[in-house]
Amino acid sequence: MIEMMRVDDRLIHGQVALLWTKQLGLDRIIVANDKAAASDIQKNALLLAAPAKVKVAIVPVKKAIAMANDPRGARFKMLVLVNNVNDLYQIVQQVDPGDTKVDIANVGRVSGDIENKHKINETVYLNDEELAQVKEINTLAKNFVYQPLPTDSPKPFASLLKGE
Amino acid sequence: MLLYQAFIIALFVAWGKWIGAYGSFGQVMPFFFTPILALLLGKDPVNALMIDAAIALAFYGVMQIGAVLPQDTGFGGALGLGFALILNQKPAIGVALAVPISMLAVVVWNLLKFWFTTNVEIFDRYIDQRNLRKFNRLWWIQMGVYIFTYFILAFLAVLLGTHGIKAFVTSIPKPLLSGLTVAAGMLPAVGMGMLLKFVWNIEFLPFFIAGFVLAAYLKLPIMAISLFGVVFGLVMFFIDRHINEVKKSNSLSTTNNVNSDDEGDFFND
Amino acid sequence: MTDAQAAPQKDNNLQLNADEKKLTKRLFWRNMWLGFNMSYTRQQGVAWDWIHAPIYKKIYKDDPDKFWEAMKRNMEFYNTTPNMNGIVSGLAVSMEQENAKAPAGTFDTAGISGMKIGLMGPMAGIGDTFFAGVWGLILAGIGISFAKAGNMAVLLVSVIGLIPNIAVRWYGQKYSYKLGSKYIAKAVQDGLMTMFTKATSIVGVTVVGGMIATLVKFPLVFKTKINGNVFALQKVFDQIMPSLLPLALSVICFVLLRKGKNPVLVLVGVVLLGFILTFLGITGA
Repeated sequence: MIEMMRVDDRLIHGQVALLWTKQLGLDRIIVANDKAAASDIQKNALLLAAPAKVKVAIVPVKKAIAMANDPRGARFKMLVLVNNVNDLYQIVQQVDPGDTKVDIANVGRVSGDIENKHKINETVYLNDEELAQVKEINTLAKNFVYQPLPTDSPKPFASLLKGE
Repeated sequence: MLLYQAFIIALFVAWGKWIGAYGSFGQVMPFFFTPILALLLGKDPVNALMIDAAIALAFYGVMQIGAVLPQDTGFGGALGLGFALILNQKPAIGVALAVPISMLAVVVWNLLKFWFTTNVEIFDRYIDQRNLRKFNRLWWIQMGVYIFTYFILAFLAVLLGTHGIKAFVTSIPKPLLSGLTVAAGMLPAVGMGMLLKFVWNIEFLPFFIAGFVLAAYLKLPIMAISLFGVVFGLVMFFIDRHINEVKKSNSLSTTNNVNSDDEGDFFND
Repeated sequence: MTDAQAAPQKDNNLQLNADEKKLTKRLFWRNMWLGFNMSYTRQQGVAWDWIHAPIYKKIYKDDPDKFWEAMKRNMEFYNTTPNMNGIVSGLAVSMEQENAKAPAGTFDTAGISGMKIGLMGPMAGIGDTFFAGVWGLILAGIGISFAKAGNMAVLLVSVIGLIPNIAVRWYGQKYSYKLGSKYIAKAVQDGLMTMFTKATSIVGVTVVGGMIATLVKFPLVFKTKINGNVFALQKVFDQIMPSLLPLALSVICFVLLRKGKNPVLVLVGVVLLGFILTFLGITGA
């Protein structure tokens, strides 16, 4: 089953790879990203960052949705990883999140014009469209939080949106 | 005369700091610059090598463990060697000076690194301001301060400390000196312990015993023991590779799924 | 084959064209600086940026936005064995070039960070074991045995010592730049890196075993007469096993360090032991 759906600018990197894998006891990671899936270089780089015993699939978002809904996934502990809110929005619409933790950790600082984005907090910046999507996600996911590291206490994401 | 000696030793220390980090060359060039220092100081290069060998032994195997750098062996070693040379002292005196100096000098590095850390924020700011010139300038200021700090410390230590150290070493009573020599001979044990801690795995016990026996009973030189080590390493490497291949052919593919079009063995064990 | 002929086919071709040659040479020399200006928070992050700034400038020469974006992106935490950095650096530069060539928005630069973070660990694992541990250890050991005898042949040790350092820096960078991530990713995943580190550690452990017997000194001078026979302590220990006490002392140091005792305390302890035993007349110079 899916243990967590997570938005992180850098997809798999040191934090995700080691801390979350330990915390959640992961054995599978689905990286849902159209660009990464199309590039061998990026795919290899992401595989390098993955912990040794975890199997990783780097697939386009559409394929990731199919895999997340695949009944064979029930016996694994899986993490679905995206690097932008739009991808998460698509996934949450087509994969019922139920009680699964949906976590927006780092997004918006790496690409795009940060001046025109709403600063939600230090690590999350959203544009208007993304803000609307986040609000929709909030109605779909029961356990929608902000939690960069397992050691951070999870904050309900809705509590960060006050005033937006 | 002392001014000249202080300058040369300070230069040697600064050079050591430079070559120690530049390309990590210092790590693979033991004793290379020792005879040059001796010649510049007008001393016997062969004797200098012997002093430096005693110091290197005392530091043998010392390496950083976790966040703790126990000794600044470069700075301490260079000053110990320098003092022993200009005071025409025995190797044991060089060791006696090098070890405490190396332990004190760690403080200097910690302070420098602390300053570098506070500067990171400024480097970040220069990037935000898109100012490569200022970025490079701060880099070179840090470089300069780093090298110059050690230069000036060594220079002052020799200039101001030589008389005191001379009085100290000539007043060392004989039993203390032999105690010093014995302690210097035992010190490599600490370095050996550090190295073992760094690479240890209980599976390596047979190789450790083999190395010890080859030296203790068969009296083989280090070179020969190193070659035996290479033999052991290669044998284990090929065994591991074989095991790995067998494992792989059993499960067809244990590597991560690289294919983007289908899920490959993602749902297999 | 001329450079012009080699230029068009980049893949599976180790020949560098003139531009690439210039770039990799520059990068090789810049990479010598990775050990300087470390900080607690980013370790070699600032040095990485300083090293690559002129390279990035060349790669993104028409696009200052992308250049500064690359500078900002690469200021992140980075820490590996400097000798091994050519491999990561060559790969990172080839990825930045892909990024520069790719139409806007089609290359995800997160992959570059991912690669650096993914590789720095395994590279440091091998590099520290090989360069700091085994190679430095053997060189110093041979150097000491020459220097103790005042033998100038010790100068040759450095020449030999430099060979793997330079070779790993140059060829590591060149191959990773030309062949790309696929081969290195495969080596990491196949466990080749772990196997190599293990083999290197075995060389190290063997040499340490030998070094303990030859380099650690525990000279016993205590002698007494029992029933008219001379009883020399050193002889007794030698009959049990040669170099028994150096072995015991080293193992005790190892156990203390492994238990997390401060290395400085262990060192002071050994010095005190040497002094006390000498004053008691048990050991001596």
